[in-house]
Amino acid sequence: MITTLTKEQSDLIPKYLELGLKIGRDSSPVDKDKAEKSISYIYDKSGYKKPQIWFGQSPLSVLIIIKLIQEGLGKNIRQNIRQNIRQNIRQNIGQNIWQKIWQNIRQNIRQNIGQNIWQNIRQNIGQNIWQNIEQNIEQNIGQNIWQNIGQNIRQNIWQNIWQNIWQNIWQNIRQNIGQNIGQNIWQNIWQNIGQNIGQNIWQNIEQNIWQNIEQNIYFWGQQDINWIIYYKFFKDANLLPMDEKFEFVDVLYDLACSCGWVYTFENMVFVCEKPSIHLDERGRLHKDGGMALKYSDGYGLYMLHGIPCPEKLVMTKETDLDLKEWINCVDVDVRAQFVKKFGVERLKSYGKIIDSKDIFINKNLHYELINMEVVLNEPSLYLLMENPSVEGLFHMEGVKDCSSVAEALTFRKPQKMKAIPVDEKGEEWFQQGDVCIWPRNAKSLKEFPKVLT
Amino acid sequence: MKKMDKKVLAEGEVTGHSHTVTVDVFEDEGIRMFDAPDGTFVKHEEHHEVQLPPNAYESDKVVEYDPITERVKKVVD
Repeated sequence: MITTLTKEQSDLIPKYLELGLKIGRDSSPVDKDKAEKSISYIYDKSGYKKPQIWFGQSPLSVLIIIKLIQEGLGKNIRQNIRQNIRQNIRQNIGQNIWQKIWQNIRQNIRQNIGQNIWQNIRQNIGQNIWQNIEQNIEQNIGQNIWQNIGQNIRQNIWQNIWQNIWQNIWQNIRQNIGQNIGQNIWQNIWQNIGQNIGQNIWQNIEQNIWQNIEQNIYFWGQQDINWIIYYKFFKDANLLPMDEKFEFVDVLYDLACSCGWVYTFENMVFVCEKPSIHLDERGRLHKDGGMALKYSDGYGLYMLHGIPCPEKLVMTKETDLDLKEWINCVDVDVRAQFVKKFGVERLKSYGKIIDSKDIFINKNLHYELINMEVVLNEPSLYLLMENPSVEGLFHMEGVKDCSSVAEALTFRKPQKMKAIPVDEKGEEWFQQGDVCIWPRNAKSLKEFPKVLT
Repeated sequence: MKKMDKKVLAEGEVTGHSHTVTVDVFEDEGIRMFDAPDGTFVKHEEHHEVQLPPNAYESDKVVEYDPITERVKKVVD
C-alpha cells in the first residue's frame, strides 16, 4: 500500500491540473480520426462491434436528433423513402428523390418537435439551431448512415451502453487504486486534480446543459477530463501496476482531447464538437455581451460569473440597463449580477439611504437600507449587502415596514425562525448565503448568526 | 416527515449549486431538518464552508418582500 508520494510524483500534480484545465477548455475542431479510433477501441474491448459515428454540433442538437430517432424518425424515414420511391416510379419523373425525402423528413421533424420535444427547448432554441439540426441529419443520413437506412435505427440507439463499459473497465481500475493506494493519497490527488478541474469548468457547463436539455442519457468525452486525468496521473506517475485495463485511460484521454461530448449506443455513437468558452478570473463561465459558452450551431449559454442569466441582461450595455426592470427580477443570483453590471454606487445614487450599519459576525459586514421610491414610484425598501464569501458581489433584497438595518435583517429571517425569541443568551445559529440553520427546539436564539458565509 | 434523496438543505434553481451536509436530511412543511451527532459541514460552491457543532438542526431560506406582487416569499436562487 502506497501512503506517501515521492517529490517527483508530488511535482506532477500541478502539471496534471494544468493539463486537465487546458484540455477541458480547448475549443479546437473535432479530430474525427482520433475520435473514431478511440471509440472503435473502446467498443472492441467492451465486446461491441464497431459502431457508426454521427458527428453533430452541440449536445442540444445531437440530443434532439437522438430523441427524434428514438421516437420514430427511423421508422418514418423508411416509410417516407418507400412512399417517395413509389411516387417517383409511378410518376416517372427524374426529380431528385432525396430532395423529396428530405422534405418529408423535415415535416416529420417539425411534427415531432411540436408533439414531443420538451417545452423549454422549444422556448430556448433558435431558428438557426433547427436549420443546423436539419442540415446535420441530412448530411449524416445522406452519407454514412444512408447505407444502413434499412436497418432499424431506433433499435440501434435505444440502449445506452455506458453502464456496460463502466462495469467492464472502470470497476477494475477503481479496485486497483483502492487496493494499492492509501486513502489519504488518492483523496489528495482527487481534490487537487479531479475535483479542481471539475469545479473550474465542466461542473458549470454540465449543470446548465442538463437544465436546458433535461435528457436522461449518459455521455462522456471532453467533460470527463477531470476524472480521466486523475486516473492518468496514477498511470503516468507509476503508482500502480499497469495492466491492459489501464490502456483504457489513455484511450479515453485521447477521446477527451479529440471531441466534445459523446453519446454511446450499441451500433451508433453521436459525437459533439467542442464549444468555445469564456471564463472570468476565477475560472467561471462568463462573458458580458455574448455567450459564455457557444457551439457552432448557435446553441450556447449566457452567463455572468458562473450564473446563467437572461440574454437581455448579458447583451444590454450597462449604461442602457433599466433599473426598474431588473431590481425585482425573481432570482437573487441574477439580481446580484445585475447589481454588479449596473454598478453598486450608481444604483445607490437612485435611492435614498435610510440606515447603514456595520455588523461584525465572523467578519465585518456592511449593510444599507435603501428606499428606491424614485425608481418604482412608491415606497420600496431594499437591504443592500455584500456577499461575505465573494468580494465585490452585492445582493439587494426587498424588505417591508423596516426603518433600520437591524429590523430588515429580522424581516429576512425564515418564518419559523422568526417565531423563536431573540435573546443575548440564546442558542447560536448559522447562515450560509440565503440558508439559515438553527438548533431544533431552541427556546431562544441570538440576534445574529455565529457564522455567516 | 420525508427523507430527502440528497443531503441538501437548499438547491439553486438557476445555478444548480446547493447547500449540502454530510448527514441525512428530512423535510416537514418546507423546513429541512437533520441530526448531526458528530457535527457536520455545510458546503456550497459559492460560499465558504460552515462548520456546525454536534446538535439537531432545522434550516430554511431567508425571505424577501416583492414590492411588485406585494408578497413576502422565500428567496429564489
